[in-house]
Amino acid sequence: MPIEFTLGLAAAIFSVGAAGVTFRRDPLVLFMCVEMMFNAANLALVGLSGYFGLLDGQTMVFLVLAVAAAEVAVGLAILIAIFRVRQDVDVDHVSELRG
Amino acid sequence: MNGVISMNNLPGIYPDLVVLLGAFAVLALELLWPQKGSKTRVLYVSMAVLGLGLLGLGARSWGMPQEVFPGFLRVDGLSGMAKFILLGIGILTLAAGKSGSRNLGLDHAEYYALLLFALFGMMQLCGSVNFLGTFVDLETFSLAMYVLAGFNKRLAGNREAALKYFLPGAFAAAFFLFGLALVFGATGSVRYQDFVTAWQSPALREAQRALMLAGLGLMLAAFAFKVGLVPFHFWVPDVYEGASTPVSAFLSAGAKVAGMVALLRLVGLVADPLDFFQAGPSSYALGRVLLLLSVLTMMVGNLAALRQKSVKRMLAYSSVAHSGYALVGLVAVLGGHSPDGASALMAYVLVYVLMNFAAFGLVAALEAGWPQALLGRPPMLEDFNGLGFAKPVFGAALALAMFSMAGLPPTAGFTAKFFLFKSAVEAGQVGLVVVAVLNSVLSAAYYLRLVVHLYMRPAAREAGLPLFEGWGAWMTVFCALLLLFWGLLPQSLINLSQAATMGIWH
Repeated sequence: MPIEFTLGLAAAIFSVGAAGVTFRRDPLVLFMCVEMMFNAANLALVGLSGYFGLLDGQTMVFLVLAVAAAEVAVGLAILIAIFRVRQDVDVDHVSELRG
Repeated sequence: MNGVISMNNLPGIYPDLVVLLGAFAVLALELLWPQKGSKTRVLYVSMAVLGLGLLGLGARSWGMPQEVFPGFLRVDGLSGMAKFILLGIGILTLAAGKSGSRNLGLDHAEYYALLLFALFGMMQLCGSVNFLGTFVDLETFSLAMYVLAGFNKRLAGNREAALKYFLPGAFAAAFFLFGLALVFGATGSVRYQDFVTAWQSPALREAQRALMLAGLGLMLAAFAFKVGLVPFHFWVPDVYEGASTPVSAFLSAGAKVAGMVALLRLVGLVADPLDFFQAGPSSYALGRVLLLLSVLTMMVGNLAALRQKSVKRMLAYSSVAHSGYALVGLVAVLGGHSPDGASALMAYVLVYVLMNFAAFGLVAALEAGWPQALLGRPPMLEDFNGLGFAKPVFGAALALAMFSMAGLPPTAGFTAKFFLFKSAVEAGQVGLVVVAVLNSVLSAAYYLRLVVHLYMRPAAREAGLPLFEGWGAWMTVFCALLLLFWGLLPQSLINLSQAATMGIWH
């Protein structure tokens, strides 16, 4: 399979994730969109790793997965802390501070 | 990725290791041997850890650049000075939160451990010469920072600050990662050095060049988020106002130092081959983007700060504006590839840290003295009414910090701006300097407004101001004295930053 297909698919997934972060309002959905963007990059790294015949890309994916897992832990903890106070996590309602 | 990892390399990153082990030690100490009430013991342990790091840093000469882990981490004058500033930031943050840690919501051992973890990430970031390393370091300090921003469980605004910092931060991290993947795709490597080599190679194809530029652009956008450059600054005011005051000070100073040094290293390395202001249209565009970011950041930061009544929001927008000034130095590095731009940038960053902690330190001291009823209300300009006469020493120190932020002589703020703008003029960026000077004049309006409140408005409460004269307040005086010292005797500041940035591109 040509490398262009893999990169194209990764770019498409990344764009869908970025569009989701821009247009959706539910923090949980925003969060999933960010994870999609991370995984798009992972897909590109794995594809390129095969293309170059190097292991580098695949080892990088392991590091990225660890970072993403830590990020999920922190992010969900913050969401739960907010949910405990107000029972709803719509970002439009999180407006005690005005930007 | 054949970095040789052996024990012989470890002394090169001794300060970083001390901070990392110190963070674990703080956690273990509190777990095995908890202390009730205010956590003074872990505070002193953290201070000792940072002091040890400074000692270790001082024991090494800065003059010999060395790749500690080849292709991953560099130890040179630039990382030495940055780590010196970062360890200082750690000590100042601890001092700002020392008095009234209960009022500020920082009376937990985890606060100190997270602070040290964040510092470790920032210190590593300053030496990284690898895109993957930079990504991991950025995330190490950001993840600790997200928690710190929402650390005060007693205030609702605090958790909002954490969410408003986390979502854009994670978004930016994804951008950085995709940029990294594109660069890896174009060059088959994630080292800065291989990026430069590939760019200079005559066999470079147009598609590869496009991928590399796109990747670099995505990574620059991620840095712009972390440092708080317009148009990626929207989270800054909310987070700075919502987080506890010492955390805000740490966030603004630490993220700026680490982010600017990492940008300097990245941009400086690729500046020569990319030749931003002369070569083909694509590189030219990237140089112009940084120039435009600098102008926008200064303008938007200063104009928005003019309208603020809350002191922390004003300082937040002022920190955005100061990022814009710091970018002037980066543009000077790009334009002439001048080492003067780099040293002026480092001097500016150091002075900014002092001004920032002088201002936030007194805000923290004010909050530390507040009665329970006032907690959670952001300090307003009116809260500083009459402070200049009620507490002459602290009032004068804050006034001096404000003069320095506005860039008025005889303070270090003037010295640093002067050298920054001089380096930009030498690099041929006269238009940018004109905009920056006009912005400094504009910024004087809101900095001096705080001075007016200090000296020319009667105090609202007859009972006297609740300023807590503890470590935070005295830290303001300490920073102000240093600002005055470097304002009157600028040569030592210049020598320090020139020695640090000598030969960093090789």
